[in-house]
Amino acid sequence: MTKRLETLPKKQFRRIAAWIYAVINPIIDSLQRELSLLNSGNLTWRSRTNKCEFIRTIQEYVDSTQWPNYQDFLAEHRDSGLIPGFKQHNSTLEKVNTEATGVFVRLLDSNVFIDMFEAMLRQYEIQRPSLGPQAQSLADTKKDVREEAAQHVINNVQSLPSHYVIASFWNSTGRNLLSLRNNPEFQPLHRATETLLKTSTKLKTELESYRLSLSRNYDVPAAPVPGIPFEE
Amino acid sequence: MPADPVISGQQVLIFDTGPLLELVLYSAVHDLQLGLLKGQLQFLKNVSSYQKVSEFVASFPKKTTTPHVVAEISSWIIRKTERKGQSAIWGLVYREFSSMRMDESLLKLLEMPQELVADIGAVDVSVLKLASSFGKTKPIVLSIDSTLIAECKRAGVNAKDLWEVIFDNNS
Repeated sequence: MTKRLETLPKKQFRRIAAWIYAVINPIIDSLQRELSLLNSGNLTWRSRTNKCEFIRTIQEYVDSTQWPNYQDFLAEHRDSGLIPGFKQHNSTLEKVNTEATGVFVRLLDSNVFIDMFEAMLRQYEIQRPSLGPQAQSLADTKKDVREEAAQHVINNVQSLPSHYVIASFWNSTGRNLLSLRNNPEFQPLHRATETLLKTSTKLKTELESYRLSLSRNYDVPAAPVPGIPFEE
Repeated sequence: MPADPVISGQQVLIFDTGPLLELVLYSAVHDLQLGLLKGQLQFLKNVSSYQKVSEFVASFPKKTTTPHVVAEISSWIIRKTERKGQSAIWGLVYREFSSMRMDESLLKLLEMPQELVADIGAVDVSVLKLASSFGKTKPIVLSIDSTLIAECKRAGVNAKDLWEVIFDNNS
């Protein structure tokens, strides 16, 4: 192995650098963000797209101008354990998106959610005069608010910044709706989210370990260092 | 106690580019942990300043801006951020707009005075003209651009610098 490394042409090192800088590092960074969101229960799922906004497939974590390097990485790692990890991440994410969409539809159809939402909104409208000028009446946009509230329940949003129109409602009475997350309808989504959390944690560790082995074997720094050309 | 903009007739807040970008950048840094963008934040450097601005904005029932401002945000994203993060940043822009129920009003170039456009630029003129169109409703323009703020005041339009919002003890 050592002998082979000694005879590798320089272009091979540049290719390794391309994998590290254009493929592995962006994926590790994105998985780190993804784990932070998943740990707080915030899926960033949006009803507008029926997808998690900031949790994406592995390929989407790589800049599209670097997709040829991503394809190159896949081609050279067919037998590696990383590729099944990528596939499992993407299929679990798809499951999370499907389950979140299902929960959203069922919530809006559920009498339990509708009755609780109506009660919270009524309570808010009563409290509104004491909440200050930013507490707007939401009675005229009830349908939009209900959909937004369902989305916040799915994303486990604990509080909203004041300048969001429904912040006063959500931060006073609306967030009581989060208790619905304990209902059985949420279990498939929670299970899929837990699987994604485990898959992404494992994948991030494996990628970090693989990056370390590439750095050691090919003497390519884990991140580019300005002024130090690695290929000389 | 903050002045109640509804009582004082100031029900509309008009966003210039700078304050909107600050809100988006704050979310990018704190919600998405895009630490590389931290250096781009000029005003909302801590929770306290973010909350002050957030509460100030919240006190206006209506928020609006112009497509010129959106185009300026787009240009900023293209010039100042890495390609791979642009989709996420647009996600935050959409979230801010939808969560604030932001309105937009189109102002055509040919309806703007050419000399003023040549002097302060089409984006600033669009904001100024939008503010003037509200008449007695007394909107407030929120900006970080001292030229625009001066021009607004010259035209009798209320304008506030983001710094004022952050450092005003009464807000």
